[in-house]
Amino acid sequence: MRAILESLLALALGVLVGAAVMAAWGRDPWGAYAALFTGALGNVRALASTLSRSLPLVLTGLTFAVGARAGLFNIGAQGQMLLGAVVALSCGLLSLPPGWHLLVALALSALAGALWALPVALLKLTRGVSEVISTIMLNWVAHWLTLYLVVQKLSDRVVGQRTFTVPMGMRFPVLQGELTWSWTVSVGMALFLFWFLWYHRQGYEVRAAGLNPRAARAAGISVSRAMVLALLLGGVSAAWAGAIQVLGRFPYAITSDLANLGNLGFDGIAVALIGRNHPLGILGGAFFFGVLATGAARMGLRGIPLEMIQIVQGVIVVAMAAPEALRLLRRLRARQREVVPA
Amino acid sequence: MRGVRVALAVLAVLGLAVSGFAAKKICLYFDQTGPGDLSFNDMALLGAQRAAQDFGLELHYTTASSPLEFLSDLSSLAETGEYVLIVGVGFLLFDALPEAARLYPQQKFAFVDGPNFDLPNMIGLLFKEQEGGALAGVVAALVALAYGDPAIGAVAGMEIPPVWRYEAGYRFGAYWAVDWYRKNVGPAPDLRVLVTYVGRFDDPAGGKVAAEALIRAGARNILGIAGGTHLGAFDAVEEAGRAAGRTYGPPFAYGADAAQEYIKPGFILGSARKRVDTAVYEAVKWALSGEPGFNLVLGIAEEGTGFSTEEDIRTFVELAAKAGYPLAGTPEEVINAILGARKSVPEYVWKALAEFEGLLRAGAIQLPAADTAEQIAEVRARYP
Repeated sequence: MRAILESLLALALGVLVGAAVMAAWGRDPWGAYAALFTGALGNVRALASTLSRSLPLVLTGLTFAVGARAGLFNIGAQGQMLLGAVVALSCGLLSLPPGWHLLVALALSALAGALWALPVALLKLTRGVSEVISTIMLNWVAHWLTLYLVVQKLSDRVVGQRTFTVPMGMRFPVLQGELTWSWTVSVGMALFLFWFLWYHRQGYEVRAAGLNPRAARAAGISVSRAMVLALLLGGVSAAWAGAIQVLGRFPYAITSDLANLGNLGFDGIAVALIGRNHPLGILGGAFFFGVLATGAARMGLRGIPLEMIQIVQGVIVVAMAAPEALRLLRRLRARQREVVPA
Repeated sequence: MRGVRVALAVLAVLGLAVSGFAAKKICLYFDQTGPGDLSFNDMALLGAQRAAQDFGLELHYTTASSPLEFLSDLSSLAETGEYVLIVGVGFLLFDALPEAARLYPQQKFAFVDGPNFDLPNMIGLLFKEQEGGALAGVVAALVALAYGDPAIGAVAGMEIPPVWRYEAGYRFGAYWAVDWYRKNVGPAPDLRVLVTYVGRFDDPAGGKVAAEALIRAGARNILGIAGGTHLGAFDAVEEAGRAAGRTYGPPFAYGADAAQEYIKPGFILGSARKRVDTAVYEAVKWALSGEPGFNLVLGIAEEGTGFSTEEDIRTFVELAAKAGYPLAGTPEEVINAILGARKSVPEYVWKALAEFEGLLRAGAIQLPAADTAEQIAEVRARYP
């Protein structure tokens, strides 16, 4: 209850600052916000677009959240997302019966995400390498690897600015407009992690390891195992974010600058913070993010330049994410004071 | 000229007053970065502004915040039902624009840089970029030979057909120029054409690094075909020239789409023109006409492509001054510096350019096609 009140207050603050920015440059802020809402939620098509935009963010948000619950600062979702996307797309080169094709692509994509998270866990547990460092570096390796595959190996022979498109039998069926049945992956993963973290023994151990590693260890919980579990689950979730972006959203391909995968991984961090690192909160946080993104074009029509729209979006997101970010930082600092042997 | 413009403005105001708030609207949708690139996007906006004024229309525009929003943005614009025409500016809309046109058959669309996909409610605005590219290639190659360079270069954006067509023309023009030199001036070594794809249109830092590498490799004539990215190539060229104590190149850069000489006066010798403004203007005319969609292909015969003329240079210096662009001096000084650079290279360069342009207009030269990855690969193999 308190969390919701805090979020509403943060939202109000962000909206007001955003309005002040627009007003200061002589724009009509309330007209712009109204345009944002019509653009994102004005009709069924718009709502479908907004939901479709938020689905991968749920998954990358979960990646960060499950890490944070285990006491990790996992920012590897971007790289895992890219690899998940390119592996899922590459499955289009196989010929398999429709439907099964989709399941195989999801399975291999999950495997790729988990494999990309594995070195992070190994380096952390055997060499004490901070996951912040290793995930940043692996993100770049994944970025260039994906770019290489997309441009050199998977590029469409005719148009060149994107890869081939996903065969029909490997796509999620369309539900409405841009929204496809890929929502089951995002919502399913959120519900699963909610159940796992709060109603399963090993999930409980993950949270205990995050809250107080010493106490957890004293209670006979393997903190290392909890961390590995959190990293692997996060890797799978992030990989699926990339997979559903390719298999479940127009244009069913990856563009040559990777732009249609955008910053889904990094945006997931903000989504997780808005959602208080809680799987159900993340569903809300991702939807909120989707609204801001999808409504932007209509704001542009109100004479608000793209740069100002991005400032307003940024201000609102930062305000919404601030309470949880502060809490997380405080906990990290407390942790640093009592160094925990791995 | 000025009188005509004032009269037009008065007419436009009267038109607005008569039609009142029922004024028809058009909308520009930019795929990336939006206005301010001093090139492609600004030219599209310029054409739309002219059309809006001439036909008494209200002009709106907005820019994609990311490619993730292409389809939902275009749908959202179409759903307003307010626009007689939505102009998609940029090749990156290749998938989303036809999809939107299929979803909203009552809405008219224009695709700058792309085809109309045989859709009745869409006009494709295409250019023979090879022509502008080839003209720039002729000049670049002859200047390179005059200064004893082993190569010429280009900084390109993404691997997409409009950029490929520029590249193909550039390569062809360079080879034609070497032959011309051997026939008319004297013996010449073979020239290499080095083209670097930065992969983006909004990365000036990347463009600068690419141009610096080209200069180090001996390519001191560099064509920019990368939108905002090649603004960085201009920086690199000017810096290298100033470091060598020159006020004119070499090294020289060449602009694209707009007449971009004013950005670095003295160091940009010319521009491969592509009249995006004319195309957008024609698209608005089409939307008001009620005719079915088709592909409008603009080339040198329609004055849609070309090598920047003195008049182009003056027009764009004026436009830049009016838009508050920080020119390196008064407009007259800038124009003098640009024309001075043109006079600093051997006279025969311009003779060859005129000859090539004449052949092109007469249809005596067949430029290589470069609409697919396979075709550009062939061109690269033939004119390395």
